[in-house]
Amino acid sequence: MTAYFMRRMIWVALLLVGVSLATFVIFFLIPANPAELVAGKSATPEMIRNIEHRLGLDRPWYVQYWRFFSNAVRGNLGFSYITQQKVAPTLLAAFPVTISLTVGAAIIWLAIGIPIGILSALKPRSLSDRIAMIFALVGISTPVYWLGLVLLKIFADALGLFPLGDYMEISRGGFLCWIHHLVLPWFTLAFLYAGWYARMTRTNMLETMGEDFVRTARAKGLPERRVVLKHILRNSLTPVVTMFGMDVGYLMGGAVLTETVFGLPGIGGLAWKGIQQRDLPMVMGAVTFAAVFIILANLIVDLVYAVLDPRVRYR
Amino acid sequence: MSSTADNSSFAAIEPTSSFRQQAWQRFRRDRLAIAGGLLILLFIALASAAPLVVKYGTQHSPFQQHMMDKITVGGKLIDVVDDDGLPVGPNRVFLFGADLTGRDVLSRVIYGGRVSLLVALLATAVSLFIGLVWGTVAAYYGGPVDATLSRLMELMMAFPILLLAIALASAMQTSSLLVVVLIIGFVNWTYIGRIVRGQVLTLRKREFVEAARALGAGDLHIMFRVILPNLMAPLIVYTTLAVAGNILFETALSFLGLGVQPPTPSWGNMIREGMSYYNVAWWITVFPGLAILFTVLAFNLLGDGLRDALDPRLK
Repeated sequence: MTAYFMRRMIWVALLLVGVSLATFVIFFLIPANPAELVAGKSATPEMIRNIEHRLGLDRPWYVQYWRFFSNAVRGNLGFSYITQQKVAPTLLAAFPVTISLTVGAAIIWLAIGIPIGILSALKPRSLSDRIAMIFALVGISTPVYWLGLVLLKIFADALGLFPLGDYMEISRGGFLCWIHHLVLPWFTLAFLYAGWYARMTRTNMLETMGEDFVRTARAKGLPERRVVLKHILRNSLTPVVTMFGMDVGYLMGGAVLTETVFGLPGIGGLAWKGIQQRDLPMVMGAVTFAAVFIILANLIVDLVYAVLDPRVRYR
Repeated sequence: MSSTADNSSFAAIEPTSSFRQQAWQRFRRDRLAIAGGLLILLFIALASAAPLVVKYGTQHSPFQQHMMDKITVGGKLIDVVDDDGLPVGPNRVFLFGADLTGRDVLSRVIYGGRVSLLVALLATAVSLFIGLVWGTVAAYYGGPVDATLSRLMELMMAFPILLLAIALASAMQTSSLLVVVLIIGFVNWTYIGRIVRGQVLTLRKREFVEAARALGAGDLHIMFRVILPNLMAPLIVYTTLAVAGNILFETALSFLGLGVQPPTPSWGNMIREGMSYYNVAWWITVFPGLAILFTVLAFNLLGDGLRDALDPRLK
């Protein structure tokens, strides 16, 4: 187990280097000169050269990358070109918003998607299964930003039940106010994922039902309830749990579209603003931050698997 | 060629054609999949004949601004765009209403479909090409080749892909159709690459591959003439589903302002333009969104139907 763990950790480190290097190269290709952005419109060529030198932009790209990387390892992601604020604290300050959005939405999509998938699989091809699967298909076919706008129009603008976007911290507005501001973004995001989870749960259940061990369990005379709960459900939810780890990891890096539509100041919102303003350190920081969560989620899923299934460790 | 060779190749074709017939039988009974297929044909026909449809059908060009025009609705003469700058909603003359500069939303939705469908189809072709070559080569050669290619694929999957696409699109500083196609194709190929790799891993150990090798066939011949035909079923299914995903991706990019630029309409940039006015002119955002929803739904229905028909184990 230790050897497996070490191998995984080395690979995680390499992935992080790879992702940050690739992001750096992409932004190095941008023709716009960040020094001109920092200097402002009325800057003289002299001032721009000074700023280029101060930011290290006159050095070769690998020197610049090394400076970025060695600082990043120590948790220093540099300063925003636009606001001159430190990037790492800015991202950390935005993180609670993204966590709030992701965790709330995840609870809702699990609570809707998995039961629908189970019920559909227990009565395949029935009327309720068909209706549920069409509902799930509509969920995965809907553009999430558009759904956000439609929900805002109906529930915020026309009915006045929820605020028109924006975010409220618990510390400022209290728990209920926080929920009140997040209900629409939660359901918007959850609608999409609930569709995926319902479909996945159903497919896995149906596949497991055809396995030999399920027939054996029935042949042993186990009560149906026990067969479904202990044998089928338990085995068919493993891929769902894997998927859940990956999805949550991905969303922790910022849900750009949902955050944009609802004006939530999370990681995705920061990244998007950074890209529009060509704020290289902010974008690099956000992409690295998001990649860390994707890689961590992968690692956790792998390790959980290794604990549950000893065969994985010796691969 | 000897007659025995003819006989053996005939014998090899026989089961595939009956498999095809069985698949077709299964597909024909799937009414939802047929509906999806027909819907796709309809959308493609509308998009490719857009100039004709607009000339004889909607009778408004997607670019014509009706700022000062008046139209008769229910015997009353009204402005297309009134003094407050509000456009008319859906009526007999403008079936989907008009936008803020008095352009016909229906004509723009039809023209927008050209961009979204073309980009999604071409981008899928790009993903298919990269994924197919990458996955086949990795699985066929195995060993260090597979290890290297698979690690690179994992690196690719560690990226937050929407952020990566946004970053690439803004780094390129052009929004030509080709650039958008290449970006979407490039960030989404791992989906097909992983599936191809898995399939080839099992196929390469089969007897007919051994037989081809024993007959002296080269690696390229085996990979693309012997193995590839056996990949057709999963490729057709996952390519169809990938088109659905790529339409959502393209519209999301142009919603963020990175795809095809106005005044050329695309479904995403129409929603973007209408977003700020959804509370007074909902039709500008709702109709392009419905167009996206139905197109993606149609591709998903067709893809699901093809999967059920070509892979009878599921369902």
